[in-house]
Formats: sequence, C-alpha cells, structure tokens
Amino acid sequence: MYLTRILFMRTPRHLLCSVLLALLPALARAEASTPDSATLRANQVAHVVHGILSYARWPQQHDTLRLCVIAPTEYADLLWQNHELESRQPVQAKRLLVDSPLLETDCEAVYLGVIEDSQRIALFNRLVGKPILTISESSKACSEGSLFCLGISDKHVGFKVNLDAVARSGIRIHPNVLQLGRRAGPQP
Amino acid sequence: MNRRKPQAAQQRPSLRRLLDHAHLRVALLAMGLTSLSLTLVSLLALSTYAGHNLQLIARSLAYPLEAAVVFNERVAVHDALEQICKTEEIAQVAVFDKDGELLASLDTPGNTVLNSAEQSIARLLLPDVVIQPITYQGQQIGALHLSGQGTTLLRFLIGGLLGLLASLGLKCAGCHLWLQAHTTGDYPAAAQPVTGGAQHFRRAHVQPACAGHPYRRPQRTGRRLQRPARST
Repeated sequence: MYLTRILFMRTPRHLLCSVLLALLPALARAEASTPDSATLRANQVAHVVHGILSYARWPQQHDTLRLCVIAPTEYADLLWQNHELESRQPVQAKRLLVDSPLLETDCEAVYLGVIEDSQRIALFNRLVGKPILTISESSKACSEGSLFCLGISDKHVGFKVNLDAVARSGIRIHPNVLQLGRRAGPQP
Repeated sequence: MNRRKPQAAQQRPSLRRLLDHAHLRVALLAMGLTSLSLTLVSLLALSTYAGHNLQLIARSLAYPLEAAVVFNERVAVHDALEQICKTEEIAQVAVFDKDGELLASLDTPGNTVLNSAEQSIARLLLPDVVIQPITYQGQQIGALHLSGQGTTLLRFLIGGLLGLLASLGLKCAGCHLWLQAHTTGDYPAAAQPVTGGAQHFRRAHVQPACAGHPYRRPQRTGRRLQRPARST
C-alpha cells in the first residue's frame, strides 16, 4: 500500500493510465488465445477423424479422399482445414444432403451429424456393404451400422468401432485402431 | 642365512615346499587376475548388449504405441507400457506427445538395497535414457523415454565374483594336493648340479669356519645326486 502510494505520488497519473491502456490489448489477446470448449472439441474431432481416415485402406485407392459431411453437425467445422495427418492422402470435405444420390458414388467416407433415428437407419441401410467409411457424432450409431462413432468430451475424444460393419464394408482398418476402438468410448 | 642362524636349519622349509608355495601363489594370482579381467570385459560386453536390448525394446514398443499416441489414448498407452514392463527389465518408461506433454509413465517400484545397487550399476554401465521417437507417416508424433534396470548386470557381477571366490578356494585345496602328488622330485633333482656345486664349494672353503656343526645336508645331497643316474 505504502509503495503504491509513493508510486502514485511520484509518477504522473496520465503516464500510468497510458501504460494501463497499452496493456489492455495484450490482456485481451491472452484471453482470446485460450480456445473455448467448442473449438477444442472440434479440433480434437478433426484430429480423430483424420487419424481414422489415415489408418484405413479402401479396396480401390484414390488420390484424394472425399469426405462427405451429412446432417447438422456440432464439431465438424475444422474438417475443412488441412490437417497434419493427411500428408499421405489429402482429404477433401464437402457437405451433402442425407438423401443425395451422390453419397454412394462421390464419397469414400461419411461424417454423420445429429439426425433422426429413422433417417439414420435408412441411411445405414443404403450404405451397408459399400466401401464407405462412416463416422458418427453420436455414440448410439455404432449399433445401427456406423463403422465408427465418436465419444466426445472436453478432455478427450474417443471412438468406438463396429467390427461387424467394418468387416462388411470391405475397408481394411489397422488392427491397432480396431483394438483402440474396442475400449469403451470416451474416457474420464 | 644358514651360517648366521645354524640352529634354525631344522625348521627351514624344504625346497619342495617353497616351490609348492610359489607355485600356488602364482597360480592364485594368475587365476584371480584372469577371472577379474574376464569378469570386467564380459560385464562391459554385457552392458553393451543390454544397451542394444534397451534400444530394441524402445523400438518395438514404439510400434504398438503409435496408434494410441495418434488418438491420444492415455489408457491404451498405459496398458501397452504395463504389458511390456511386466516382462522386460525397465526401470522407468514415459511417453510424451509431440507437444512434450506426458501421456503415460511407469516406474518399477523398488526401495530395497538390491534395487539401489541395480540402479547404480545401471547408471554406471547402461545408457542414461533411451529416447525413441514415435513416428507416423514420416512425422514425429511423440517420444518414448526409456531407462533400463541393471538386474542382469548385477546378477552377472555377483555370480562372477562368487564364482571367482569359490574357484579360488577350490584351487587352494585342490592345487596343493595335486602339486604334492605330481611335482615331488623333479625340480630338486633338476637343481641338483647347482646345489651340489654350491655345497662342494662350501665344504671346501667355508666348512672350517663352522666345524663341528651337525650339518646333515651332504648325506641327503649324496643320496639325491645318485637318483638321476639310476633313472637313466
């Protein structure tokens, strides 16, 4: 207290005010640099999706992987950005409607957002047996025919795998990833 | 010596016994030196192999960890580490992601004297920490830090030293008997011309000075001098 009083008395007040004003943008930037929960989750989801795609092998290899994003999604925003894991095979993301006929022909992988149960079941019935890697945001979808489904929390994004659907799709997934997917979804 | 202390002539050790002792001493020394140097050299060789083994463990551990590190699965990383630590001699292992954040680590507990001895031997002879980068698609995604345990080295060292002591003891007991049985008369007989000449000289020049002394060596040399002639 004594020290601050001396400081205020000795230094001109307008100098102190200008210093504080100059510090304000720096403080604001420091707050902005810590990402919020949604960005954090989107980042992790993008990392996991690109990781899964990089460990998968399709019956016919393509130069670029076409990833179709279907239905309203919560964490798919960063899938359009370049990612470090797609160095071997660039990933090209695009949005499609659920009933689009291009799904079977123009997509190697499908990222499925939040969708009604009946629509989801219909979609999986369309895609069953085709070499299309499906990744769902909701963890229930694994029992309905999605190859992978994400378990998303703040700290960690895990995934589960439906081995039966993987076997039927004809896509080969690295056994280490299958083993990881067998652990129960999100972790504490 | 004989001339100065003639009364001690009876207790003086015979030539054979002297030779036996010298033989034994040289044999023990040679054996000790040989086995010590062998132990040291083989310990060095073993530590080199242990270092290679540690690097091999790190390399083979990096492969199953790859997917778990890509997906940031801490539990999976921990499980993989636990599995390998159960069978291999690892003191400490830690996995970091590409930002240097710790994903999982495992220490083998040990506070006994033997453990601290193992650790000091490992510090002395093993590479400090083996760092194995975990790569995926040509990029480094993490690092594995591994430090070894000196169990094998300590076991080898203790075994080697105990073996050395045991064989030295055996040598003391066995070599003495063997020498007694096999090298009885050969060396004294071979040295006979020299000792005979020396005694002849003494008889001729020195005997008057210590006349009357009950020195019985001439009789023995006389007997021994005849032995090579009989054998030829």
